[in-house]
Amino acid sequence: MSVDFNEVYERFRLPVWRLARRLTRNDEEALDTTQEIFLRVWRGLPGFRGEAKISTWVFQIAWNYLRAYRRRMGRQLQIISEATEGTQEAVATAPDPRADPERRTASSEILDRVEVALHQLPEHYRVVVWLRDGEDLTYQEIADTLDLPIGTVRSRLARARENLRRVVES
Amino acid sequence: MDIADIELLSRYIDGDLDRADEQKLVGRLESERNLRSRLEELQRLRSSLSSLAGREHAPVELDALIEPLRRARPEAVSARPWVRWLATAAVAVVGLTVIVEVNLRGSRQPTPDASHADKRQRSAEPTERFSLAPLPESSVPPEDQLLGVSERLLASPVPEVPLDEPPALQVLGPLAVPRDSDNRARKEAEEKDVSTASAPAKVGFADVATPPDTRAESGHREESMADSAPVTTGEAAPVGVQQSRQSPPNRPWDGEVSIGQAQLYIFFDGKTAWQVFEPRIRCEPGRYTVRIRIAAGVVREVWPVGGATPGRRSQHLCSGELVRGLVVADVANGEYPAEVVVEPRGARND
Repeated sequence: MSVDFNEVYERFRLPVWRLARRLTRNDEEALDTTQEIFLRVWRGLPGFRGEAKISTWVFQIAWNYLRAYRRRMGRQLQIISEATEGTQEAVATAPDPRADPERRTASSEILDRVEVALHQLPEHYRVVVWLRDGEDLTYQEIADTLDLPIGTVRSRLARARENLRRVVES
Repeated sequence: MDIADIELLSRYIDGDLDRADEQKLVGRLESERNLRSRLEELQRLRSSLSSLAGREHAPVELDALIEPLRRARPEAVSARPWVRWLATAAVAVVGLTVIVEVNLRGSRQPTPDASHADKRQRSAEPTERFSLAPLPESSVPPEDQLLGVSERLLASPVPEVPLDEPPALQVLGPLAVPRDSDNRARKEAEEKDVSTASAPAKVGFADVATPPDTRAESGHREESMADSAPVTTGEAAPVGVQQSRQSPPNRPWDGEVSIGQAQLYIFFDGKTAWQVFEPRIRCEPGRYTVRIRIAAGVVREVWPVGGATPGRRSQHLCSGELVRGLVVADVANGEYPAEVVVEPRGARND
């Protein structure tokens, strides 16, 4: 099975970047890790035989690298990027979006609030909820990517959503 | 509301419930206001996360970083396992031929014609041995290899490999050893046309056997390597790095050079070895030349990525001459010691 790297890159550059950004919470580190991930994709692509979906395979490489990277860096729940700090400030000064229910999901303030809340989730919740709701992976694809039983994916996803809801509402 | 209900709602909005459970939940939603309210909240949250993904854009710097890989062709070696079997078969055939030849020679006196043929045979035999690095067994790199070479180098001392020792070589097939005249003609042709991204230069392996000469030649070639274009790539294998700090005589070196953070790979597609070099070199702002010497082989050209990337830490590097790729010709796949020299542009202290 021949898969062209350029096609893979065009298709997954944004999803991998988004996942890296979610897990590193820092644009600079996200850029570096995305580059490293695609280097691994490039190196592994000749051995890709199509046993798994290409999306699962790419996300698996990305998750494995990012998890190892995070473990290596020893980063904990800290919001360190300037962009995110700016977002926090914006959220703090933003008007209460609940005053106008119709604008809830449309306003960028709400999205900023959700993003900050997402960053506060533990990594094992954050990655599950992002792969499902951000990248629209199926439960089975998430289970394959994270090497988890599908039941664990279901329960983690429920807990992640509930935790996220609490943080956003608070 | 307990977590079991939350999981039911979560699976419901994802369409993961079977028909019976779904009907049961729909019945509860009609009668339980709290459950219905929580469902709406979770649905809004899901929508927000989806919108969050939709508003993001990958930075333009990413394309520049990935560009060397987009031009490369890693499938040349490892995508075709039968090539390895062919190589193994070729080894067996050559080995058998050599054994038979040696036995025949030992059992008869050479005639003048046979002696002449033997000389030609010997002149065509490689004088050293090289080995192919093992190809990756799995398409997904194992977890202990997930971190980049740069990070591994940061975590461990830089291997001190003497440049004077050539790598152990092992003949895997009948190699066409270029004669000196062939080498000269080929190198002249390469110097004329270094922009061969679509037509990689075919190179031999004769120089692998003579590292001191190739290193001297490397120094000669380095004069033109900063302005060249990439050629081609193949399978990746990490190489050792030897740290080197030099103070050019015409300008005092007062920057910090940390070659231990360099990232080095040798790629090989059966014709040309290609090296990705991503230095993390901290130094004074200015224009610098990065020169790389590989103990075996000839550094033919480098692929500079010019200019700092705004907003990233590379702007603090001497990235006016930041080199991300280079082509190493006349080198077999494998691990090789490398010497990296960073100096202000124009300085020469060979």
